[in-house]
Amino acid sequence: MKEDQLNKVYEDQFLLLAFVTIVTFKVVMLPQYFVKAASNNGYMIMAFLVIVEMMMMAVVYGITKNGSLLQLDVPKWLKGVFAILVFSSSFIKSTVLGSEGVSYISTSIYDNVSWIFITLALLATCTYLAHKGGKVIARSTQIFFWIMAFALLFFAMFSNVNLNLLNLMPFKISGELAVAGDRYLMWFGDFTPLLFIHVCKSPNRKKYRLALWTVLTVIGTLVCTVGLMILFTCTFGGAGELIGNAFINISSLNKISFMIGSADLPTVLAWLVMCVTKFSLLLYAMTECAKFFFGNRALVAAICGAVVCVVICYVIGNLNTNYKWATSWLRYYAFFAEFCVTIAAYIAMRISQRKKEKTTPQTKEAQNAQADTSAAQSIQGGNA
Amino acid sequence: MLNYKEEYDKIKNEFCGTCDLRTIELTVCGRSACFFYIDGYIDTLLFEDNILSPLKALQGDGAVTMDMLNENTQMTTPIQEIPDYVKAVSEISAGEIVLLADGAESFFRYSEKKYQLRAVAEPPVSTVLRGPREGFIEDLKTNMFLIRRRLASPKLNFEIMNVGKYTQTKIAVCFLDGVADPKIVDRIKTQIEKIDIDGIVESSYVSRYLEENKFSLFSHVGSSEKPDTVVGKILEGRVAILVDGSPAVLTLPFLMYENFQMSEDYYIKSYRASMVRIVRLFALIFSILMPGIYVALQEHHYQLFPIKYLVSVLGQITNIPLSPLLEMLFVLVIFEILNETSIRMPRYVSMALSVVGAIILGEAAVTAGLFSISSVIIVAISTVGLYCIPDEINSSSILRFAFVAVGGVLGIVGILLVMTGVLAYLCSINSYGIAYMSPFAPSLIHDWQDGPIKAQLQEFGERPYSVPTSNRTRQRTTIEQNQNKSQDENNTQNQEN
Repeated sequence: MKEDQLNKVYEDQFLLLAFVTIVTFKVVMLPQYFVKAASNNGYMIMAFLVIVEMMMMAVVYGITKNGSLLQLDVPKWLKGVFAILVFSSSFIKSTVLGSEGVSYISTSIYDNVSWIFITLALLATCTYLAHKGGKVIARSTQIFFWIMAFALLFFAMFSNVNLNLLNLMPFKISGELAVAGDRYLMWFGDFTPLLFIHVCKSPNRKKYRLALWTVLTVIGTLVCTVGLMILFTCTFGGAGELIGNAFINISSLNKISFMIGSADLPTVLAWLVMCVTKFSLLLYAMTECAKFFFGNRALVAAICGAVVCVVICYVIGNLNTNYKWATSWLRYYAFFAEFCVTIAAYIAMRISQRKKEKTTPQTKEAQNAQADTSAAQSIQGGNA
Repeated sequence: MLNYKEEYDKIKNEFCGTCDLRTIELTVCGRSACFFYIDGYIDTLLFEDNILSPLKALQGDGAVTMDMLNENTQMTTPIQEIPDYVKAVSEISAGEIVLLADGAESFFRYSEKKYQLRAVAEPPVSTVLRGPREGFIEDLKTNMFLIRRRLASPKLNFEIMNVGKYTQTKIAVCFLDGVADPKIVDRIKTQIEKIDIDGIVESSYVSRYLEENKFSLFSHVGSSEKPDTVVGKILEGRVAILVDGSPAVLTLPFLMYENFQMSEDYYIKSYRASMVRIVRLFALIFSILMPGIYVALQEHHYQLFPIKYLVSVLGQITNIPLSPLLEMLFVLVIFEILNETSIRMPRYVSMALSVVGAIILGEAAVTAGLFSISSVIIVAISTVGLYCIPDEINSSSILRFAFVAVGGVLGIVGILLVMTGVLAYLCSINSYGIAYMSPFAPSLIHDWQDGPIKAQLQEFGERPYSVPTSNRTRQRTTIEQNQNKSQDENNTQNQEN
């Protein structure tokens, strides 16, 4: 019961987490990679895969409104399989995407500081959040939302980008898109951490408000991913494959930075809080899976955080190794694990629900039959 | 039946020969009797005129009974019978007058208290430009009266408990029956009953026991010295706890955003109130983070400074012997010393010490090259800004130090990560079952009407959703309904004309 309380999340919080999960790591290195692989049409494959991801989020919502993944009424061995798959895919993603985040921080905000300090600081915070559970991560994200909203508004108000729409030409759907989508699968399919939360109806719930939030989330996700990709392509064109960090380069293009110095800090900080949320969700998924086998939540969270920290600092260590990992066979494993677990969990949940529906009407019929029999017996007794 | 000599000796022994225990021995209806009271606690004139003189003048023979005392003495409060000497001793210690009569079935308690009290005045930490200027004092009855005067409802309920082995401090749990959630009231009463301590000297002792997390940096129990503030919270469905001997009244459940709400916000226009609340929010964030950000920028991210300001800062810090982190920590410590001194120092030397603080520490230290001007200015503004939210000054000043240390070591990312951790901690706290960061996390849009942007008073039709209550409706009509009503009245008048 207490564990369920740690993971209870409201619908609007779920939408916010979905937004952060989808957007965070698609705005850093991915635009550069897509331009390299798919030239100026990278935004098309970005749009396709983001839409697929959003559709899978709907499946995740369908599962989690009945309870978290490990609370479903499915056989325990199946839950164990799910836990192993999700743990491994979350571990791969947390190391690969975490390295990208650490590289972003060390190069953009510092003068190339060592990864160890940043990783330790980042993982300490994210491990704490992971240990606290989905509810605390969701609530924290609701507070961070104001920083993100303020930063995006600041950027929208003062942006000073020279857009060249011709950079989007020519429109062509070619094999390059499939190659790009295949090579960078690691950056897509991040929905399994949300399987461990239990989505509940918010108090004072109004349906129109939920519909409005859903529409805003979808639009916001598309704008921040596909919109940023289009903006990146229009601004840098083919030269985008040389731009190491899309988000920071776009956000530094604002009027104020020419007047008072570096003013891309609000948008950078907004991305950092999204990174903390996303990373915490991955560690949270690992903690939930490991806890399924080993029990002690705090210890398990600390060990997961420590292992991820060691892998980021000493096994990966730099962006080149990170890229090799991200584009190796690990991407297929992670991507298909994400899809397989989600779809399999949904199917298993529906099967168990069907079974319950079948047994419940039979019970009622049996009761009605018994009542008829006893009534008939009493009448027969009276007559005799 | 009481034996006069025996009970007299027992009571005298219990008080261990203290000099302020007064005894007046007399004969009532031919029986030996004695009044016990603590000197300085009673209204001696009323006692002599209404109780002592009539009893002394009484003729007759027979046991002293309640009916006889009711007939022959005049009291403002009813007489109570006390079965045993233990309770009698407790009542005498609490300032009551106890009569012991030979052959009576029990002791008799009179209540004619009169003692020196501080006048009801404006609390020094909650001054307002507009609004009531009454504040609670140390007397429980006066505080109860100040609340009762504003909430003239029979549903206003006070339940009194005695806590503290030696102090027997009276604690009153105050709530509006039919509005406050009974589960929360019961929970608070249970927590107070569990308090096992020698003595309660101030309401903060009680708040330590009412807090759900004793090691938390942030206060989980609200406190106010103003009756209008407490009444407002009671009307929202909260429970107030009054402690005898303390002017600070506690309120529960307590949420983080209540720190940003002041009583004056409800007496001025909502536009101004909204502006002031946003200023308070930014003042708190600025005060806590600015010293740390300044150190982080100097140590790790000087490229983020605008060029002209960078040149100015470099010029100031050139000859400073300390690193930015140590310099800032020293300045913070000095300001904390000044802060503490200004509260404690006698008025007679305040002028001289203010001169020392301002001129010598401020200007001379900067001129001597010990500290830079910008660090002194930032810490000064930060310290002043902390007092926008006086109730959170303890946690804010500690966090300020923490952020300076983190900023010096890890830079802006460290500050952001620690801020994230602090926010996550705040999001994980519950106050009697309610999320501490409610109504922002989880989001309760209805309650935002009393958040940083304050709505008009007429729109407060329902009590806050973040506080459990038995009755959500606060008022029957809203602005639209009022407008419709006045429109209908106008139409009716026009038709008549």
